[in-house]
Parts: sequence; C-alpha cells; structure tokens
Amino acid sequence: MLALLKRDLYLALYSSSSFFYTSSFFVLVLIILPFLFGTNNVQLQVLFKGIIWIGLSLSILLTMERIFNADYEDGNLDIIIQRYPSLETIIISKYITHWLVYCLPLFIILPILSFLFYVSLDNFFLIFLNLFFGSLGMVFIVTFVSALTLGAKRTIFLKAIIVIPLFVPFLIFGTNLESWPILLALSMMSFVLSIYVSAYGLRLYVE
Amino acid sequence: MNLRLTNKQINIIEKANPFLIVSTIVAFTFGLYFSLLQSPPDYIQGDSMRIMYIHVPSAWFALMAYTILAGSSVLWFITRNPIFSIIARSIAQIGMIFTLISLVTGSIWGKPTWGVWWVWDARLTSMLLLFFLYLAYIFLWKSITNKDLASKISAALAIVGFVNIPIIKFSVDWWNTLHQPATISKLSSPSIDISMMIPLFIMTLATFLFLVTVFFIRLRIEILDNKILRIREVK
Amino acid sequence: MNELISMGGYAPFIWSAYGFFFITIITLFIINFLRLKKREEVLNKINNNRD
Repeated sequence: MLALLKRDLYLALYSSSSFFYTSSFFVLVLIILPFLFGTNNVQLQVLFKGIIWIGLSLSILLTMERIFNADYEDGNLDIIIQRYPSLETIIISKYITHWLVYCLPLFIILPILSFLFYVSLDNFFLIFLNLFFGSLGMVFIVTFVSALTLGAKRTIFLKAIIVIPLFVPFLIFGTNLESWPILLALSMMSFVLSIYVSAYGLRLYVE
Repeated sequence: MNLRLTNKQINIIEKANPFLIVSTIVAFTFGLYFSLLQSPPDYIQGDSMRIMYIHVPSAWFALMAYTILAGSSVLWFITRNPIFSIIARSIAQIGMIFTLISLVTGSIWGKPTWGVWWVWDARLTSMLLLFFLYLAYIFLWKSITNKDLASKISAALAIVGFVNIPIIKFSVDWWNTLHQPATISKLSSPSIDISMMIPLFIMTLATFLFLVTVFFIRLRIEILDNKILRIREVK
Repeated sequence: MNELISMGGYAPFIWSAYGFFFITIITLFIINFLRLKKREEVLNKINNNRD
C-alpha cells in the first residue's frame, strides 16, 4: 500500500499540480470576494464561511477525474488491481492521495485566509474542524462517483450533477460553526458507503 | 440480456393500452369536473387552493416513482433479473416529469399564497434536489454506451440516491429551521375537508392511471429495444 | 360560466397551473407513443428484410 501511495502522490504532484497550484487556487477563489461584495468587514466574515466551502467543493470536484480515469485509460488500473489483491487497499490509498493533494493545501493556508477575512481565533478552530471532517466525507463521495462513472463519456458536468446533491448535507452543516460532530458522522457514513460502491464500480469496469 | 417476461404478459401489457387510455381520459374528465366546479373554495385561500388537486398527486407520484426506482434496483441486485432494470429505467423519466410538474405547480400556487413565486422552504428545496437525483440517474444511463454495464452502474446510483434522500431531507429541514421562521412556510390547514377529499381522490386516481399508461408504453419501448438489439447481434 | 373562468380572481394562477400540468403530461405521452411506433416500424422492416 505504501508503494502505491508513493506512486500516486508522485504522479499527482509531478504531472499535474503541486501544493503551490492548489493553494493559489484557494487564495484566488477567496480574493474574488471583496471584489464582488465590497470591503465591509462584517459582511466579508459571513461570506467567507460560505465561499470557502465553494472553493473546497470546486477543488475536489474539478479534479475528480484524476482519481481513477487516468489509470483506467492507460491500462494501469488493471496492473494495480492484479498486484494488490484487495480493492479496499487501492481505494483507501486513492482517498489519501486525493485528500493530501487537493485538500491539505487549504488547511495550510487557512490561517492566513482567516486573518485576511477578520475571523476570530475561536471561530478559526471551528471552521478548521468543520472543513477537516467535511473534506474527508467529500473526498469519499467523489471517489465512489468517479469509480462508477469510469465508463461514462468524460464530462465533468455529468459528474457535477451526480455529486452536488450528495454534497448538499455537508455544505448545510459545514456553514454552521457548531456542527462538526454531525459532519464527522456524515463522513463516517459516506466512508462505509464509498468503500462498497467504489469496489463494486471498479470490479465492473476491470473485468 | 434475456427477458423473463413471458409473451403472454407482454400481450396483456399491449392489450391494456387502449383500455388504460380511455379510463385515464374518463377519470380526468370527472376529476376536472369535481376539482374545478363541484368543490367549494377554501375559506382562507379561496379558489387558489384548487391547484392542490394537481399539485399533491404529482408530488406523491414523484416520490413514489423514486421509491419504485430504488426498490427495483435493489431487487435487481438480489435477483439479477433484467426485468427490474427495465422497470427502473421506465419509471425514471416519468418520475422526473412529475417532480418538475410538482415544482412548477407548487410555485404557481405559492405566488397567491405566499406572495412570491419561490420560497426556500424545506419541502420545495428537497423536491428540487430530488429532481437532480432523477436527472443524474437518466444522464448517467445515457452516457454509458455499453448498456449492460450502464444498467449495473445506474442501479448502484439509484440506491445511493435513495440512501441519501433521508439525509438530504434531515439536513434541509434543519437548515430551514435555522434560516427561516417556520410560520410563513407552513400551509394553513393540515386537515382537509371531505368536500376536498373527493376531487383529490379522483385526480390522484386519474394521475395514477396516466402513470400506468405511460409506464406500460415505456416498458414496451424497452422490450422492443432489446429485441432489435438481439436481432442485430445475431446478424 | 364566467365564475368558472375568473376563479374568484385567481384565474391566471389556476389556469396556468392546470395548463402546464396537462400540456406536460400530454407531451410525455405523445413522445413515448411516437418512440414506440418508431421501434415497431424498425422491427417490422427487419422482419420483412429477413423474409
């Protein structure tokens, strides 16, 4: 599993994006805010809590084709599955890679962002917790959807239509500061669902 | 894909068609007579509540169709009988249309009742999300060219969607109590007078007959598609 | 009769809702009916070619 993880991480960081790109993306999504809504402190603070979730959703959603599609199309997925007999190992390794590459940068720059948007220290920790548990669940969801849609035509819009209704509970509870235990529960539920459904999808396409 | 509907059953489905069409038209005629003429206007909402007689059946069948969609997907997983996959596919489009109807008529009903076309009420928002669940199911089915695979994949998606519905409902309800006082969104009378029950019942029956008519036609389309596919494969 | 058309002042709402309902379901029916006819035609053509 470690070897697989290393390979995936190497490929993701080497070929397409680095920590720098992803964190720049988050900063830029949030920089739009004052341009759109003016520089009112109180308003910005409220909007920040929402837009940061849009940034996270976009970053997870737009990159979901990198989870399985690239490996599936050049045939590497077959080789990986032959080498690692349990599909669950592969899927968990994909979770970790996707989270590390496309979510972790957000948490690294979150302190700076909250400083820019006047978030108090207490709120910062709550936002951090919410985003952490929410991003886990969203990665689980995106993984099983991408396993299911491997054979579909490559349209990110179809995948967005499937994924966004599944994101809605996370977004609803994510923007409320005290609800991180609910997000944790949702993430655990989506983990169980995701393991089964991703394995089912992969098995269908590889056989 | 082999079909396990016998020829006799297919025959019944075909023969039932004219009978179903006629009884749908008759039921709608009675339903319209009772809902537009024979029933009294509501004492709070006036005549505008007559929209209920088309709105409520559509909403019920929109939800029922998703239950059938998910139920037959589960049965498909257990039995692997292709008829369940065909049933699921046939009901999906009908369910989506009824969701759309209930959204539009609800919005038209909302204008005189609430004063605006749309409120971010828990029920309306859940219905809107249900519409997109249907849309996702249909689009996913269409975008996979290998139809054998497509039926396996979309069955999984239908079940995931069904598991997600109570979660969406719960979170949307919670979100609604947080952001809005409940008083504007609730309709005035939860109990319905008997004089309104009769038109509602007839309209529900009529809508149900219509649903069965179109459902049977869609079943036949799917069966013929399979036949054509098999003949082409043999050649 | 006038009463029926004016609907106690709610005419535009009621008639547009009922209109939307019936236009949509009739369209749904016609589209599926035409699709069925098309399939039947194709099948007949295939069968005729075979004979």
